[in-house]
Amino acid sequence: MEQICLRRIHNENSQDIESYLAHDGYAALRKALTEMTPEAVHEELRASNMGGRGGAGFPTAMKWNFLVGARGQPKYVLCNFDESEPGTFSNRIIGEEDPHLLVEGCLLAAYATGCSVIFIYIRGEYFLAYERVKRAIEQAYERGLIGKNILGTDFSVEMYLRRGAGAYICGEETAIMNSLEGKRGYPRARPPFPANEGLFGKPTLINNVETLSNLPDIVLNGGEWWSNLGVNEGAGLNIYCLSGHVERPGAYELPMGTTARELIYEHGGGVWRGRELKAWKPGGASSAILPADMIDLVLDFKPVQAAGTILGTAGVIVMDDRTCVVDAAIRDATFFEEESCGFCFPCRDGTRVLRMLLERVRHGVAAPDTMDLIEHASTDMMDASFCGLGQFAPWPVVSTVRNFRGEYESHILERVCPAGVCPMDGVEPDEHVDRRTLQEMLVAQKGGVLA
Amino acid sequence: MARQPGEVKRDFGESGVAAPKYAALSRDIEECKKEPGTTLDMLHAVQRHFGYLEPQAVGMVAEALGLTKAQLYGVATFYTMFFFEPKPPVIARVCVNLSCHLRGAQEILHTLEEAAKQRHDAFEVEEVMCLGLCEQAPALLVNEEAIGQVSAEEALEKVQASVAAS
Repeated sequence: MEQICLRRIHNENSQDIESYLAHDGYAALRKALTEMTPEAVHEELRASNMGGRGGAGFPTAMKWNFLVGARGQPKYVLCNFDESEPGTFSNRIIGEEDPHLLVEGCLLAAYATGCSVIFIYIRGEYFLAYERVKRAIEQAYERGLIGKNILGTDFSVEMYLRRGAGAYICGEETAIMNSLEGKRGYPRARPPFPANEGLFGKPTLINNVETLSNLPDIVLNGGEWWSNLGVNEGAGLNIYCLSGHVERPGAYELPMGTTARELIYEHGGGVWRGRELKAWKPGGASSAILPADMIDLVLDFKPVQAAGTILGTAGVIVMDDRTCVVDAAIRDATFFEEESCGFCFPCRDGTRVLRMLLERVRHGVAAPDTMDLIEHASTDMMDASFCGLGQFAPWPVVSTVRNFRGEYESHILERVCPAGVCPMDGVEPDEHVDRRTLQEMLVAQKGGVLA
Repeated sequence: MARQPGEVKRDFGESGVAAPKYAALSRDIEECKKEPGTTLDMLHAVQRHFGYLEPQAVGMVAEALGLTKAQLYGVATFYTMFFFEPKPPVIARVCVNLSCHLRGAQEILHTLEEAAKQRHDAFEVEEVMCLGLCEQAPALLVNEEAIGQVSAEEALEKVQASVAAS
């Protein structure tokens, strides 16, 4: 089967420049710089129909358009390597095993969009990937593949690697710029958009690691070739990250548009220990928890959106029939409470309220109207949160209420956890959901500040 | 004489045992200053040399950036990987998010936390959010080393080996 980003990862010393050069490495850069205009590279990307792999699926060629038209110098490429979405690890594998692919992709993006400085922002916890990408950049500098007059052409570019320090929000495209500028990683209001006024106030192209790593093959083989690798109307290949209760967890680079059934059963070997599928998630923590009967869903941006959730980073998480969905939802709720940056209150307070409501369900002390409260709080967060974190944070929780209503009724009305996972001990959690606070929060959002 | 706000004590303990650390940090700061956007890298350098954001060292970074210490602490406290007090030599960061939770993260966390109660001077256990090691779940970081697909007992052995080597 065709492979692009993961093609070289099993080669000996795959992270070294010698190995990369021996397997078509930097051939695309040479081709672009010596045979193609920046517009021609852009045209191939347009023909590929690629949607950005960072989670939103926004057409990458269109993002590039904004930058080409933007005024101001220097222009920056900012590679978003802050991969922190639970269930997602494809960028880490590229950075650890094929860092030169990323370096080459960054150079192609800079060439096509007229940028002269490249930043790669990698999350702080990726120690090995940091070392490998750092070494790759040094090697590329030594070979004259980064720097002044690359390959004897007029194209010159500098490349810097920067480390984050533990903050999921810094994967958000405006927060990452604040972080790189040495500030707290709060999101910024848009407009102005990064393409016009981004990093250090200059035009900035922000692309994900996987997006950039596909560029060398698009340049070498053409955008149409790349586009045709997809199935079910999908464009290109996509790395699906498979984890949870599955026989063979791992990163699978498959045609965009592969169904969840094929991914989980054919490639992942099915649910572990011969058990049945109970629930699954298509795209990391920010996506909904879906029931087993949605397993034929086509895993591409549009079909998943049509089903009411997001493909996001394509981090597919599998849950077997012994899983309690309340217990699963509280993991995601805890994640978002922990990672909310505190900048806007619908997210800061809402993530806390959702987690505390679930805590009460887990202990068998939830009020009868808990499902309604979850619906209300979720809707308010989706409507009123400042950035994507708070807008998507309620999905894993509210989706379990909608898709597994019977299970909540057992927990809340009968005080029974059908899977036998939750403590259901009748113990009031240490923290109380102060009903008045919750009501005040909801009222404040509906009638006050955000009306 | 009372110190002025933002003023950094310039005596970097030249005669003390920490003097080489300050000198090394000073060199790292000079390297960072050559490139744009290196605030977090400088803070990482402080933590690399001192194990946490040692106040006097933070003062050196603040001075290099033209910030007050308060401004720099305002930035640093946003990020969970920075420590503001001395830590034991080994930090075990255990992921507790969904993929790891489904494969036994709670047992690892519980086992390590129990063990840490006996040896709190030697290692510390942190409950952390996704480490991007989901295909190796349950996973943890022992200092900078990624460890996955382990039982609670194996995780504890790894931590103990790391403590013994520290």
